[in-house]
Amino acid sequence: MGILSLCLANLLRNRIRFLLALLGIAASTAVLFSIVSFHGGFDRALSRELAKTGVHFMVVPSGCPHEVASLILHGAVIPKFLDPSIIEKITPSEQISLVAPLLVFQSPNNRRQMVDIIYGLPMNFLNYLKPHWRITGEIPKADNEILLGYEIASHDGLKVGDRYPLGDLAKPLVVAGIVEKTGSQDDAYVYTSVKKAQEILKKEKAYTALAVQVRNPERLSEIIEMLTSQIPGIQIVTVSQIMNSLSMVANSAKIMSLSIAVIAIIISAVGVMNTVLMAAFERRQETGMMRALGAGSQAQARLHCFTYLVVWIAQAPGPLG
Amino acid sequence: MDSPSSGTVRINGEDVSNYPDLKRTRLRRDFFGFVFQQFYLIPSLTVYKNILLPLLFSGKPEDKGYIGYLIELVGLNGKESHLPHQLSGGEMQRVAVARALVNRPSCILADEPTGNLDSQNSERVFEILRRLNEEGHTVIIVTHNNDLAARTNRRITIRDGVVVSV
Repeated sequence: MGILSLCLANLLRNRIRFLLALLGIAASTAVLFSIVSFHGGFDRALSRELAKTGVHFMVVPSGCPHEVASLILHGAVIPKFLDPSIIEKITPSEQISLVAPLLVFQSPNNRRQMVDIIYGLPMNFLNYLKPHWRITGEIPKADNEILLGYEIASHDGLKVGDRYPLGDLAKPLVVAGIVEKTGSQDDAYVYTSVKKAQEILKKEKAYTALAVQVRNPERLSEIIEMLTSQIPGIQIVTVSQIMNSLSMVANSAKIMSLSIAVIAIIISAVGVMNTVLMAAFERRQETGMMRALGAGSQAQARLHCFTYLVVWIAQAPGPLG
Repeated sequence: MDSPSSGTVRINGEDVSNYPDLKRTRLRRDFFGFVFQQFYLIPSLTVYKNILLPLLFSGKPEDKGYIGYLIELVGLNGKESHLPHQLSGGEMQRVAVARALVNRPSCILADEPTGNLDSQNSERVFEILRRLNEEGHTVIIVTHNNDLAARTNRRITIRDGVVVSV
């Protein structure tokens, strides 16, 4: 008979209390695991999503650039447009491989009794901007064609080839393709050419931002510096800055959730201590008997430590499972 | 386990009153065997494992032959795998006697060993203790039972905490 089997035998003397202690610890450990996993997953997903944009930086209207760029990336609406002259100044060159003007805005849709969020972008750049997308049908080629997000198509039961009214346009547009479910905001937008988006908005040469891809990302800061000095009134935000901006917001949530996990761990630790101490107090006479039989202070301490250990090991399969 | 408030405690001529904790633990473990009035068996351990318990603290190897001899000595053959709640009071006390002997102590301290037993079981436990004494163990019994005390080799009477006869 070893000390471990003695600890286990002692714990099993009050099975319900032992089980409740195990459940408490298992629950708190599971909370900790899930929160840590969530944090890891969130960071990875954020990096992945931003990497998928295929964009190195965005030129945005002056204001709070990080927030604006972040909002544009996620399809939100900002009532501010870039100066049209900027579009002409930033063009593909030896250093810049891609410049994609974007126009994002809300448009009431009276027939659907809803508001459409229209995402105008050059359709030939779609593969660069959203390389991970899978599309049923095809990317719109003609000016009267649109691409629908998954949610809109499934909500209205639309298929490729159907007609979809937009804004005040006299003729409904043709659904050329439907984006397969992405699980993100992308599912809720109507994608069209920038020109058609400007027509719906009734603002010629309106652009919300420029998405820019460079040929050599190692020279990114040099290119940004050059553009900022040459073109006054623009603000440039890199993808990593957007990620940092989002991460800062997420960090608050992380701290709060970690606090909850810490509290859960403290509660479970107190639960284990309670279980072991109650067992110890209930058996004070037994403790005296063991001392009489030759158990020294070290042996008694070892007995208590092993009891803690047995409880922790016994609950491990729960959260790991 | 406690320090004397006055006087000294001598074992084999050596004053052990001021022994440090570790030496006292060793002394209790190797020199003494304890039998209590209320048995104090671990309820979740079998008879066999209860007898083995002191070996857990002394680190001595399990001598199956000697443990078999102890079980036979206290008359518990066939009950090795019983749990304490499956035993009578007399049987539990006999397990406690076997447990007290497992470290082969020179001296057995028995605190009211028959206090919770009927006369038949008291007699049986007392006979075991007397036999151990005859085999060479020093057996010190604390008892309120005058009949039992009258059958011992030597009696020290304590009344209200004062030794009245030796």
